[in-house]
Amino acid sequence: MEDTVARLVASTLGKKPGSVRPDDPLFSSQAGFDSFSLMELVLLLEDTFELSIPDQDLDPDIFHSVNTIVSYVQDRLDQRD
Amino acid sequence: MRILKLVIWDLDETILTGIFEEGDEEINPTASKVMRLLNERGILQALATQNPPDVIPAANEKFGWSELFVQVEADLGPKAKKVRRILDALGINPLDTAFVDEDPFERGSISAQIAEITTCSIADLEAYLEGDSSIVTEEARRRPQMYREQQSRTRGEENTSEYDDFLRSCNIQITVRPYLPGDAMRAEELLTRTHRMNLGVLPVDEAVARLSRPGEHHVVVAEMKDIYGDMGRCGIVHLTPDGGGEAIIESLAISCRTRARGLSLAMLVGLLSHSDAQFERYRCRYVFNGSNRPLRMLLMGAGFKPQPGTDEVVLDSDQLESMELPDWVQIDYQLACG
Repeated sequence: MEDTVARLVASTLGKKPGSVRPDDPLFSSQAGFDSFSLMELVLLLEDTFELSIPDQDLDPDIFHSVNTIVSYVQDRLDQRD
Repeated sequence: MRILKLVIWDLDETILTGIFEEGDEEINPTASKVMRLLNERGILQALATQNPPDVIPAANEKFGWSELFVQVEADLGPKAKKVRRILDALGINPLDTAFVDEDPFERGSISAQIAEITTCSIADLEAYLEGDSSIVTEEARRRPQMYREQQSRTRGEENTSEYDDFLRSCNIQITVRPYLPGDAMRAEELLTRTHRMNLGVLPVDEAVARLSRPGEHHVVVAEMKDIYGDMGRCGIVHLTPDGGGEAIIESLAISCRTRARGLSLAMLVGLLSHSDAQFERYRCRYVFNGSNRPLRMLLMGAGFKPQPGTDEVVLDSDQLESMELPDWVQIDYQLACG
């Protein structure tokens, strides 16, 4: 799952797969995320993992890095099972 | 239709009384009048025609349209594709767009293929404009020019191998200052026309009324310019102290002209960092209005945290202070005069 999330993050930023490290903070000015790319990422995560991400979960701690997103998605999938 | 921001014209037998390529090069006088009215009100105009592309330079030269249309799509393919390309290129919602064609078949065809766009005849559009009393600000009048400048930016972006270098070359400056009475019309326009980056918790009338209501409140506006032009007032925030060092964000709107990477975040941080807007903590409600999820993303990007069980998000000012902004934006702060 980490690879998939990292690929989605990289794709949203228009970067090559593998260029985003699991702990890279996504909100640094160097990461390049803005509101529209974040929205695209959320939509991609929802489509890929067949989840609905509510506004309540649009939390900077959840979207801090690839690793924190993976934890969140994993939790959501576990709850569904 | 929500607010008319863009009119996409057909050419043959709509703007023109006949077919351009067949030498029928007379402009429909009502179309000419409507085009002038649209230009005066800063409503963008684009052209979608099933003529070959080489017709356009000839038409531009003959009719003096080189500064009129912000986007032209000309080829022999389906008209709906051209309309979609124009909407995508300008980033304008079909809800805010009118497609004008004198042929009812073409209007029906576009309506069937592009949900939520308004299709109309020239007479329909003329009647709409004559009955419309929307405010027209200086920024509104300059809007077509600003979109043309935006297209120059995009071309520059395409020609620059490194996007970051391109952004640095733009010399982007944001000026943040206290709200002045002369900002009222633009504030109303920002709160009315901005959909994606609008908190939208208050009805626009109420949000505007509160700006001029006596009492302790803090309103800050942001202007933006770069080497391509002056985009004017693009952002506004209205804060009301709530005791204990907290402020409630009553209204927040940031124009989508700040869409280049990192600019909307820089503008939000700039607005909240102005000395008139400094509080220990900021609190606001976020209510989805059908299009303002980008604002919710922006709030998250700025560090606003959701409050469990409510529709509120909260930001502590220390987080604002530690926010790292892109090095391609310079923010200047102006204090109140006197």
